[in-house]
Order: sequence, then C-alpha cells, then structure tokens
Amino acid sequence: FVNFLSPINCNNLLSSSSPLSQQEVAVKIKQTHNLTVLLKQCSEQLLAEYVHHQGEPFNSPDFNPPAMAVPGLPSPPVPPETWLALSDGERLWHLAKAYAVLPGLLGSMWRQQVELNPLASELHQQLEAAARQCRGLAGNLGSIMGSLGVPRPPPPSPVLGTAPASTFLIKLSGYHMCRLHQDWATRSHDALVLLGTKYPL
Amino acid sequence: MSSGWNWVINALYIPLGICSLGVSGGLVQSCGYIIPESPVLTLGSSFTALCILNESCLDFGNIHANQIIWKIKNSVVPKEQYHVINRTVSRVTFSDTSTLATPLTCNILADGQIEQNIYGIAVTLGLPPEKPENLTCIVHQKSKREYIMTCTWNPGRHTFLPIDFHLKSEWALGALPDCKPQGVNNSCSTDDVQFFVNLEVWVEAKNALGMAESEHIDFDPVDIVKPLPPHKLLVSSAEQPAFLKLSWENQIREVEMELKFNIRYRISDSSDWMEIPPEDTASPRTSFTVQSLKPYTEYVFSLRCMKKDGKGYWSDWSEEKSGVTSEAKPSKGPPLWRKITSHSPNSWTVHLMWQELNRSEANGKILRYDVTVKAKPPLSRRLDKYSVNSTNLTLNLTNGTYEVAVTAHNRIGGSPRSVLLIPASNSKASVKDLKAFPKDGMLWVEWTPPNSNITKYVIEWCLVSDSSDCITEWQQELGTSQGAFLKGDIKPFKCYLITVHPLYNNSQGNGQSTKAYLQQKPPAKGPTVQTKKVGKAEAVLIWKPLTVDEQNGFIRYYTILYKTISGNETAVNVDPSKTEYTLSSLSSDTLYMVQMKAYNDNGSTSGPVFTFTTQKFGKGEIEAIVVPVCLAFLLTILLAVLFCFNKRDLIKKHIWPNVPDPSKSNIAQWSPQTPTKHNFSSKDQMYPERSFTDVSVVEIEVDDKKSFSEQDLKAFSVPKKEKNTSEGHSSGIGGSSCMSSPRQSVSDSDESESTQNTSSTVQYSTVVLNGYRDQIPSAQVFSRSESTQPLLDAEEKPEDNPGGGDSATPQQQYFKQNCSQAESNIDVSHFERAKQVTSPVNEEDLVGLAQLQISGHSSQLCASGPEKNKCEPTLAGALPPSSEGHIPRLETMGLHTATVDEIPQSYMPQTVRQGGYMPQ
Repeated sequence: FVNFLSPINCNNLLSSSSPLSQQEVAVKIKQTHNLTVLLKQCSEQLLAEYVHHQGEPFNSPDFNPPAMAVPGLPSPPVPPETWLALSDGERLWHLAKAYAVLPGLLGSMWRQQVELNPLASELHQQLEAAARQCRGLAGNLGSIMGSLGVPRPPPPSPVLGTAPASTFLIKLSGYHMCRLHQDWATRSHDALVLLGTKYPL
Repeated sequence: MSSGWNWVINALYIPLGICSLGVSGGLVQSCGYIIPESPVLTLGSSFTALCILNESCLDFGNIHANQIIWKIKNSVVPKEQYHVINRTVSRVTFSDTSTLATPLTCNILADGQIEQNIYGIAVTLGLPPEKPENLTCIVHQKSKREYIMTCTWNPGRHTFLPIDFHLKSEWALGALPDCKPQGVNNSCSTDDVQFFVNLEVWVEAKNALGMAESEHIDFDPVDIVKPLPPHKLLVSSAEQPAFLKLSWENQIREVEMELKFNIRYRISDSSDWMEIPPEDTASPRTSFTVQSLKPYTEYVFSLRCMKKDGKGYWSDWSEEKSGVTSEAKPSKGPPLWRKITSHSPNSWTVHLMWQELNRSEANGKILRYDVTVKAKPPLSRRLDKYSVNSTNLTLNLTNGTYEVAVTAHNRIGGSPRSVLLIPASNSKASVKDLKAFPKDGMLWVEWTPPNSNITKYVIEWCLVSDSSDCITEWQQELGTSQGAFLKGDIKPFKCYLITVHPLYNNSQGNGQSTKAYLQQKPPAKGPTVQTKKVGKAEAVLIWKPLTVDEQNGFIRYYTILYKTISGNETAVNVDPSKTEYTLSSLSSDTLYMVQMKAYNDNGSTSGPVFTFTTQKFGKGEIEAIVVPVCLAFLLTILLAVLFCFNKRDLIKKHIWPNVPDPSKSNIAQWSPQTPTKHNFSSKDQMYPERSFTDVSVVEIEVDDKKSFSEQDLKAFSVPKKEKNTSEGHSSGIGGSSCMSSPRQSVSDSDESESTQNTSSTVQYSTVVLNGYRDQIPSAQVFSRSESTQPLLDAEEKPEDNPGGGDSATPQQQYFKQNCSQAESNIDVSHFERAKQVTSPVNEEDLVGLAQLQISGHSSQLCASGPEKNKCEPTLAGALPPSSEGHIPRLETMGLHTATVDEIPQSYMPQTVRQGGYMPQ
C-alpha cells in the first residue's frame, strides 16, 4: 500500500513506456477513460464523505470556501471552460504533472485522517482507493504519452510545504485537496473523452 | 516419489570438534574441519569435500592426511574416493550425491589404530524449484467495493527443501508489494485490486538450490472479475396475463463494469429451467419483462451477470424468486366421456363424466362447468342446460342420439366446448390389433385405426380383481394417435382390462378390449389338485383355476407332475382353460403323488402335493366275477327247490311223516257231554299232576289240518272225553313224557322232543327246581311255555297206553304241573278225592316229578290260587286266534277254574309236597 502513496519515480514512467500500436493506444485510451470515469465518481463521493466526517463548518450544505492552492499540487492551468481548448499534448502534460504528486498528497491526507477520524473507515478506504486510482492513472497517462510521443513533465520537486499548524487548517487543507482531486478527475475525464474520440476502437 | 526421497536428511549434524590428541590447559580444541560446511546439494550431482587438519594437532602426534578416513554415518567411504592433497588435506569425491547421508565425518587413525573423529558435517539434499505453471488469476467481488484477486498456479515438483513462492505484480509505474501464500504453495490472494490499470503478474519460487519464475501474465483486473449476482430480485405481474416483470439490483457499480445477464425461469413444480435468449439481456439493466408465460402459473426466476464484453466470469445464480401470472380463459374443454346403463328397453341412464383440466389448460381456478345436452332427430327433446360444480352428471334419457357439450369456466371466461356424441348405436368400425404391454415402466396401449375419420379415442381401463369391482378410469387420445401410455396409477402384478373406443364425427365404434399386466411375477400359489375318480390305470384329476388375484400374470399353462414313490416324475402340460385332466397308463394298486404348477410369463408356482392310490381291479372286473357266481348260486338253489318240489312226497315220508291227529279221529266225536265234564275235572286234576316238556303235533290226516291250534282245546276237551269214555284211546303223551323225561335228563327232554317233535308247532315247557341243593322247599312253580304251538296228542298214544291211558293226559300238555303229586300217591289221592278225578297212572306221576324239576324257570301263573286268575288269560292269549271255536270253550274252562275254589288249595299242598320230594 505504501507503494501507492510513494512519489512516482519518473524514470519508471519512462522506462516502462514502450511504443504501442494504434489499436493498443486506442485500447489504452479507452481503459484510461474508464478509469477517469471511476475516478470522477469516486472523487465526488470522497468529497462528500470527507466533509461528512470533518464536522462544522465543513458539513454544512452551504460551506463553500474560496479555492485555495494546495502546497505541492499544481493548480489547474486554465479554467474548466478552456481546458478542452488545450492541445491533447498539453492536457496530457498537465495531467501527468498533477497525477505525479496527487497519490503522495492523498497518502498524506489518509494518514492525517486516520489520526483525526480513526473510526471513519469508509473515508480511509476511499482515500486509499483514490491514491491507488491516481497512481494507476498516472501510469496509464505515462503509457499513452509515451505512445503518442507527448513530452513528459519534469519529475516533481519534493514538497517543502510546512505542515498546517491547526486541526482546522489540516481539515481545510484536506477539503481543498478533495476539491482539487475532483477537479483534476473531471479534467482528466474530459481529456480522455476527447482523446477517445480521436482514437476510436 | 516423495516417499522415495525420505532418506534425504535435513537434520543438522553438530560437528564433532573433538581432539583427544590435543588436550591442553583443559580446552578442547578441534584438530581439523571439513569444507564445505553444511552444504545443500542437488540430488544426483557430484560433491567434493576437503578435510583439513590443523597444524597444531600435527605436532602432537605423527599424523598425516593419508591417515584420514571418511565415513557416511557409520560406514567407511571407499578409499578410491579419497585423494590426499598434502600432509594436512584429504579430499573425498562423490559422483552422485544420492549416496550421501548425514553425517559425513572425517576421522583419523592415530597410534595403535585408534580411530578418532576429527569433524563432521550435515548434508542437505534436494532439488531446485521448477518453473510454476498455469498461472491464472480471478477477481472475486466480495462486496460493492471490495474485490479480492486470487491467483493460482501449479507449483511443480517437490523439492525436499523449504521453498518460498511469491506472487509478484507490477504496474507500469513500478512493482507492487508481493503476495505471499498463506499455508499453501499454489495460490495467493490480495485485495489490492485496481481496475483499468494493467497489471503484470508472475510467480517466483525460491529455495536453497535456486529460483524459478513463472511466465508473466498481463491483464486489467476488470477483465477477470466474477461479480456478485444481482440481488433484491422482485417478480411482479405485468398488465398482460402472460407477462411477469423482474427487477433487481446489481451489486457492482456501473462505472466499474457494465453487465450482461442470463435470466432463467421454470414452472414452480417443474425442475426444468428455461432461459431468456441471452441477446435479449446482453445490455446493462435492472429489470426485465418475461413474456409468453402460461396464465395462472407460478414461475420461479433467477439470474446471473458478467461483464458485458464477456471478459471475466459469470456470477453465481441469484436467489430464486417466484411469481404467478394472472388468469386467462381455459384453453381447452375438459375431456368428456360417458357410461351408459340401460335398465329398460327404451331408456338410458347416462353418466356423463369429464376430467378436470390441468393447470396449464385451466388457466385459473375452474368455478363451474356448463353442460348442454341436445337431442338429435328424430328425438324432439329441447336443449337442456346444466351448470355443475362436480365433474360428472347423470341423466335419464330415452334412447336416441345426443350431442353433449361441456365448457369449463374460470373467473375470466369459459373454455372451448368439449363435444361428445352419444349415438343410438355404435355403428362404426372398431379398432384393430389392439395390444397392451409394458413399456418404459408404463402400460402402453396401441392399436390400428380402422380408418382415418376418427376424431378421438377414449381408452378405458380398470383393475380386474376378485375382491373389488372393476372401477373404470379413462383417458382421451387424439384421433391421429395409434398408441398411448395409460395415465394412471397402474399397479404391477395386477390384471388390467383395457378398452379402446374410437369416436367418429357423428358416431362411435364398438370398444375393443384386451388385458395386460404392467409387471408379472410367478403366481401366488399353485392349483390344488385332487382326484375326481381313480381307476385301475387312470385317474381323473380336477382342480380349481387360480383366481385373478392369484395369477400375478397371464397363466400360460399348467403342468401336472405325477410320480410313484420310486418312479420318475412325469410332466404333462395342460391348457389353462381346462379344469380336469385324465391321467392314463397308470399302474394298478400304486401310490401316486401328483402336483400342479401354474406357469405365467414370469415363472411358476407349485400347488400342494396330492397322493392317491390306483385301484386293484378295473371297473367291471369285480362284477364280472360276482355276477356269474351269484347266478350259479341262484341256479343251484332253484334246481334244489325244483328237486325238492318234485320229490316232496318222498321227502315228506322220510322227514315229515304223517302223524294221525287224535283230535280228528272218529272217536273224538263220541258223547260230547260227558267228556266236557270230565274234561274240567281232569284238567283241574292235571294241573298239579303233570307238566310237559315237549309236545309235538303232527298232522295225521288232511282233515286234521283244519287247525293245529284247535288241539289246544282238544287237549282240554276231546282227550278227556276220550279218557272218560275210552281209556284205551286216550292220548298218553303226558304220561309218556313223564315217564321218559326223568330217565333222560333233569334239565330237558331233548330226546323226547326229537322223537315227538315232527312239526314246528312244538311247545316247550320247562320246570326248574329251585331248591334242589339247599333243600329249601320253596314254592314249587310250574312254568308254562308261552308257545302257541299246538300240542300233539296222538303221537303219545302208543306210550300213553302202557302208562294207563289216562284221559287226563291231554290236559297235562297244556298245564305244566308239579309232578310231585305223582311221586306221592297220597297227594294224588288227595287231589283225586277233591276233584273227583281219576288219579293218573303212577307213571304219569313220575313224569310230573321230572317236569317239576325241569320247569323252575317257567311262569308261576298257575302255581298259587290268587294267580290262577292270571293263568287263564294267559292261557287264552296263548290260544291261536284262528281257533275261534275254542274260545268259548276256553271261557268255560276259565269259568270252571274260577268256580272251583278247591284248586288253589289243592295247589298249595303241592308245594309242601315238593319239599317232601327233595330228600328223595
């Protein structure tokens, strides 16, 4: 399990990528698309599950703090409306960059929640699954990019962010984390849908 | 194989660090060691070991490496395998490790040939792991979000060494944690399952001798899923009667997997599943409407699922749920049949009967049956309608042709009509070649149709039994069928009477019947045979045929087995319809044992043994002997009779000479007055005086034959007259007997009888003297024979005459009297005086004595005065009724006796005198 949460070694991504045939690329895109569908749904459920366990004010229906950057996690480069306007390569590049760090961040979050909400096993499971899914998606994206000849982002720099001082800040940080996770899941889903149309089975 | 390798040693041998040579300062120091230490060797490989002696030990004694001896356990390794490398090193080589065992020791022969152990090692033998084969993985769904991936493989041969299997897996991004089998060596399960990411999996097997790796398999775990079956299945009726709607929940998220389904269903009381065409359920769904179901039928449903693209595995079948379709009109009319009983020439009782529709035809709960009976011309009966709840209806109809129709109704509506034509007469052809026999464990009936116009057949059958009536069951078959199984509870070993009726559009054919058994077994018993008639060489056997219940099958024939005690058994087969059989050519006067066996198709059973003995003579043989003998006898008799008849005069002369009857003599006609007087007196007198032993009457001449009995009276009257009138003619029979009897015997005067009795009319009179021995002068009793035979007077004449020719003698023939008076003349004289009767001759007295002695048993009627009265009636009774003419005389006699009072007195002294006689 620790493996899922450890930072992705970019060398692995490069070495494991081998050229795929057109058909194989299409299959891989389809498979990755399925994964993003799952990821998208899971990320929504994760957010809901997360706020459910964090108490006030997170679980109030109208809790909607302004978006906030998560240290170490790249923010979406463009608003959702223009995400699809990017080229396939750009989208993939951004996705790869984000999913290179997401598993590690979700892993940190899982550890924090085990401490904060030790009885929320469902939340723990979902966090664990989310980290695994992101790790899997990162691998699939690497394969696709390798097959499509898309340049890869540089390996992520170690996260230097300081741990939040208070529980509230931890929870708030987690909340933003979930929001970003959901955002990236949606973007990856949209990107793969679009990519799938270009590489039909 | 593994057992063959049991010698492989895993035990650790503690090296013997002994050096008896170099004990210094209390420390035990090893004098050498073996290289390699505790090796693990591959079976069958070669092995070389070195024993190296310590330099320090060499100083203690004069030892050298060539003194080293290698041993496996306790056996010395052959020297050929040794090689001394230098003074301190000895090498041993094994070309095949199979010969090795633990411990392998290095020993040295020190001074005095004492073997000292230097060092020992433990040897472990085994095999390197084989490449694991047939690696397959499956992902089992455990719950909505939980999956377990289980991979299994073939671990290969046993290596005799501890072996580790690791299930390795790797993503594009890198390796995943290994899965280590728990307690097994051929499978491993992990719950790290991520769909839509390809996983590379392989198995690594590792032991002390090496490592092997299976083929790598690469898959997306979502393609090897065995999902949980759909749950929460619901069955609800749809709008249409033949539809049922199923709904359920899938247990796998659609984002993970799209599913296809299999739906199966069956009628609740059947076990045969039907399946919805898979293409109809190949798309993801949570409900389905099943069509083309039967109305009012309970169905059971269950379904399963798998990934829509067919990758992975089918789930298990879901739990079963049932539902009932709604009702519909009955699909067909009830099978209809009738039974007609005719109790008067022009009227019928028609029992209509129909069978309940089965569930699939009734399409609901049957509420009632509507029956219509329509008479066909020439009958002019109106249409009758009945509505009944039962399945039969009895109608009284006049003879004719009717059309009966029955419809069954449920809540929704009525069935099509079942029509049965009841014709006035069965005019059409019957079925042919009707046969019934068991087939596939049931009773099969088949026939040849007479023609093609038959609309249907009705098969009736019933169990034939002695104990119960034939209760008819029936079934209907299509007009096209030529055979059918009987649909009923057909019992084995029972006889069934099967009748097939062909029904035509407008008529019927006569029923044809046959009998059949579903199964046969030997008869319950054999026939009890017995003989009806037994002759000399033949015997007629009869038996009762077996009852239907005893037959247990078709009786094909009887076998009669018969034999003598010692002879061979003879068997005769007899047709089962016979109840009698004649055995012929038997030996006469011989004991035969006979037994009968009844055979049916399945075996035989013997009856009890019956024994009989043939007769010695044949019929008519005895008759043939007896009849001629009898005839000959009869003939002889006849001839004898004829002879006698012819010679009767001669015979008569010899055997039965004519004896003159004194009563018929002319002398008896004389002076009838006086004799009467004398008669009475003499009679009275003779009572005490005489008695007769034997009297014979012989016909003297034809005239005298008038009546023998008359002699009785003549004896009274006539002789007395004779006596009185002419003493010379008087019969002396009484006197003669008195004279002769004493001389001959005391008991009886046979001789006189033989001489005097020439006719059957002999009168006996016996007098027994009671007090002969003890001299008791008991009352002397005169006994008079009750014989009615007449007395013969005349015969005695010749003897009487010498005796005095007393006229009283005839009277003595009648009245047995005490002769004692004769013995004492005094008494006689008393009598004579009292009665004024001439005293009898002395000789007569003697006779009287004899008679007295003889006639003890005789009646005492006349012995005493009071009894005298009795005497006469007896006397009268003794008279033959034919002698009517004598009766008056008898009366007069009785009158006389009664009137004479002295007579009893005169008797009494006789008894006294009797006592006086005894001393004599």
